[in-house]
Amino acid sequence: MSDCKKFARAISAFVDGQLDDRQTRGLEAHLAGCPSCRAVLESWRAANEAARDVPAVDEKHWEEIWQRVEKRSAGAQTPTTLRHSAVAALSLWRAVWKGAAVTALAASILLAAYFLMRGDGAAGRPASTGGRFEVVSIEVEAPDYDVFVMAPEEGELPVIWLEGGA
Amino acid sequence: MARATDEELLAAIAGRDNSAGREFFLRHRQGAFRVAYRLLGNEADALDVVEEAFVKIMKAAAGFRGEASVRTWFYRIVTNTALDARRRRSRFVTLETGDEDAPGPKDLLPSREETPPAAALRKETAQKIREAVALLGEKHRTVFVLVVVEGLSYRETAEVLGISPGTVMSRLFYARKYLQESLRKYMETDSE
Repeated sequence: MSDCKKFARAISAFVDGQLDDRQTRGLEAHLAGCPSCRAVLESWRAANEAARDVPAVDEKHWEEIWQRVEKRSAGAQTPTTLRHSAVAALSLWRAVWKGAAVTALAASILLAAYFLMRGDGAAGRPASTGGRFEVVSIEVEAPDYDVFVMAPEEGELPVIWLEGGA
Repeated sequence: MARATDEELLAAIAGRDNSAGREFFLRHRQGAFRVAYRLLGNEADALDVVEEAFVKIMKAAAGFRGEASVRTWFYRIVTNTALDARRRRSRFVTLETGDEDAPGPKDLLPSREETPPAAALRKETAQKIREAVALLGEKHRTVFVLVVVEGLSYRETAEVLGISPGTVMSRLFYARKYLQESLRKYMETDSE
């Protein structure tokens, strides 16, 4: 009886074909002398067979299902047929990316201003050095902007502005 | 021409190849239906799940990175879609079906007076087994369906459900113990 208890889980795995050769040999040796465990094995096999039996689906039904799948999945991938929620989500993403680009631009400008005031030109190359007006070339993710920096006299705040952009 | 692998079909589906989508559907529709049918218990709901699952598969094909096998990826989508449908449905029928984790096995058993011919008894037994499977709790039934009905290995089933192979083995064992208890009298009658 204690042996049967020990082998119960092995029978379950055996029914599923999950035992290795050594485990299978051990179980088969037990089954050969144990009608009770053989009955358990047979009942679990019968349960497997019964569960695998499902009704047949008419081919016409399958075709209708495929037509709907094709239509629904194609519709979702075509921008002109996006649902309202998808359009709203897309607009939101555009706004997020635009905001991120402007933030990156602003950070770049501040860095440029900092280095200009230090006078080492590490962030950009002055296009014009006549007087106090500087046009700075900065590589950022928003190429539509031109950046202008008014270099101040010592002790004054720099003036920075952008032109262009969407 | 060599038959395309499932991975190749998914890549083609991602490239908007409708014939690849159709081929994938033809290959796997029966597997999806068997899982959905055994998890939901009726044909109409199961076919709805098949449709929903394949729409998800067509949309998600481009995101398949091969981190899991196509087989486990596919069954994860089908299983989750079926379980979601079942949970949505159960909100409306809970009062009728009661607690599915505590089914009444006595309801499944025949009266002792019945003496049908052996073939009819076997057919009826099979029906009672299917009813008993339907009364298993969700976790045990899902494992039972993936391993027994679809033939997934314990490891594949573990990947589909995000649990350990040991848990798969344990759930199957207890599912079978429950089925065995539910059907004990049937088996005794059949062997007489």
